Amino acid sequence: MVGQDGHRAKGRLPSQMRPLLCERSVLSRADGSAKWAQEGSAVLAAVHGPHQAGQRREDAERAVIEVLVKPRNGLAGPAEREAEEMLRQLLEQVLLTAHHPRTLILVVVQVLQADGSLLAVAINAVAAALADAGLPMRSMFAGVCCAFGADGTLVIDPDAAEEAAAGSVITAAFPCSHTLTQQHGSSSSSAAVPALSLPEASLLLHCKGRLGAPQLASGLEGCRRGCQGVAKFVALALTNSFKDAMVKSSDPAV
Amino acid sequence: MSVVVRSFEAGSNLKLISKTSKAVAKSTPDSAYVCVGDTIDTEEPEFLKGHGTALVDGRLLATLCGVVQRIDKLIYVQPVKSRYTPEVGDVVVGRVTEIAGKRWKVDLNSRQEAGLLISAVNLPGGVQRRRNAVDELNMRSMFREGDLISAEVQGKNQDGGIQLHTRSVKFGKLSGGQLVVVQPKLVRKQRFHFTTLQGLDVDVIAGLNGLIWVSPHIPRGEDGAPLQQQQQAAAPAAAEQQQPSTVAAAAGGNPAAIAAAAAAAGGPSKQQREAVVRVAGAIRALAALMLQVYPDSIVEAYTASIEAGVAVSDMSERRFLEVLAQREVARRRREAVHAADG
Repeated sequence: MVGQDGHRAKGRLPSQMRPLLCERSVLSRADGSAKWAQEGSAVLAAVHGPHQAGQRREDAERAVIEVLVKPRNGLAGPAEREAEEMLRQLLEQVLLTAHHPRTLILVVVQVLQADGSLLAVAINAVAAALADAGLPMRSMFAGVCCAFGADGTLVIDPDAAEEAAAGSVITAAFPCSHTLTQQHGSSSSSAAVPALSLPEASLLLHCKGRLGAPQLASGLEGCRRGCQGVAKFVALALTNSFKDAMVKSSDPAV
Repeated sequence: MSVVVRSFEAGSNLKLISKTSKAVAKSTPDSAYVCVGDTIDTEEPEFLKGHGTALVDGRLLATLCGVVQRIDKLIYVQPVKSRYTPEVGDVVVGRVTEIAGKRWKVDLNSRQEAGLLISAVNLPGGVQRRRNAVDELNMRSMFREGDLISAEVQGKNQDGGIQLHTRSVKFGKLSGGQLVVVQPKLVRKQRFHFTTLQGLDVDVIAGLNGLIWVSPHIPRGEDGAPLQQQQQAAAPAAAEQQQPSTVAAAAGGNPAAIAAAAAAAGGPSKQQREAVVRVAGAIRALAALMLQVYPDSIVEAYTASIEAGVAVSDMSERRFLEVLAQREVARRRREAVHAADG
């Protein structure tokens, strides 16, 4: 995985993530959609809702969340079911479901390209799609995957080859938010990003393989640092794209 | 039949829209844009938190991505996209999905389905009485599953469920026209949601949930009830026309039955049909450019399409959208000048 000079494939450093790409509002018929790619891995997430839940499924006090994960080829199997359950539990913590009782929020995740870190890419795609749909959330969230090689070195955002060669793989998602540190009026232009805060507690933790306790701790810390980078990107990308959208859609009052 | 193939340019509409919006400068400061979880700066210690905000640990957090709006002491976040949220008194167009107990379930493209109680509709013949079991069994003869109806929002439940009513002669089943679905925010509250476009003989019902109904003009009396002229004209005609006219008599002026009678009498003319389709195309073009849909803007887009010589099937093409975008830029510039003067 990590070569002699400390570099991975394509000259990546162990703590370096692949280039991030986020495209918002890709599907016209979904309430919210986003395509998220980390170089070789790409996932398309769509959010439908909140809309009417059937009588069997509706909950009188909160919205019901349903997640569907579709693999790149073939039918969904046990791995997809596991990913669906993890995403659903993550969303239960983040979405303000009490705002829309008796409704159903359907999240569909379609894997477009698979090259490692798929669960993390899916988490990021779902976060962007939920922001696009305008569903009320407690905070934004970001997900990062890391892997431990046979020799114990930690690499962030592994690709498929590195995941296959790894002794263990950890995926973690953290909530992220920006707190204002400047007074209103003296704040500078859009170049200034308010202070980013990431709590210690993760929203989702998925481990594969054999791990010792110190390894788990260092893996979590590595994921957390990676999530900070993703959160910065998401804030900039979404804010810029929403600025464009709001300018286009607002109109002088008639 | 000729086939036209054109390449799909992703985002081409967006480029047109941003050209239109940048023609007149907007004044939203960058600091007003928030993402989920961001802290909103509350200048005053007293404020009312509105939609899209939450008070956590003494800080006001945004729960949506969008623009922070402040009106007096109210602070709320306006998102880019959201589903139609009904308010009491809104005129809406919806499709009946189910008949359940003493109500019809109507789909409004909102977060929940709306209910139309049998006690909230006018019985055929305009009779006022308690609804009995026979009325309940005859519900399907009034509105079936799949019918399109216009109604008004009567009330909202605590859990967000919506109650509709069609307690006016102008509401009811819609037939003999075309439905155009646009984003709900493009239809704002107007003085009249039932309008007849000037000189075009076309009726437009603009539902605030984004469903817009376009149909040939139905002459209405002063109270909004459709006039019964076609019924009298059709009655002495051939046998197959007797059925719609008796249905019209039984339904007491139901617009659908009037349309059925008109259809039996030969239907709307070719010019009327083309006018209806062209108006629908104008509405779709306005929606593609995310412009507000109201009677004046529809008529402007219609006349623009006639002046530019655009065929009805080409109204969603880029060429006509550019024409519309240019007219919108000119209109906004004029308005900016008026605002500066006045």
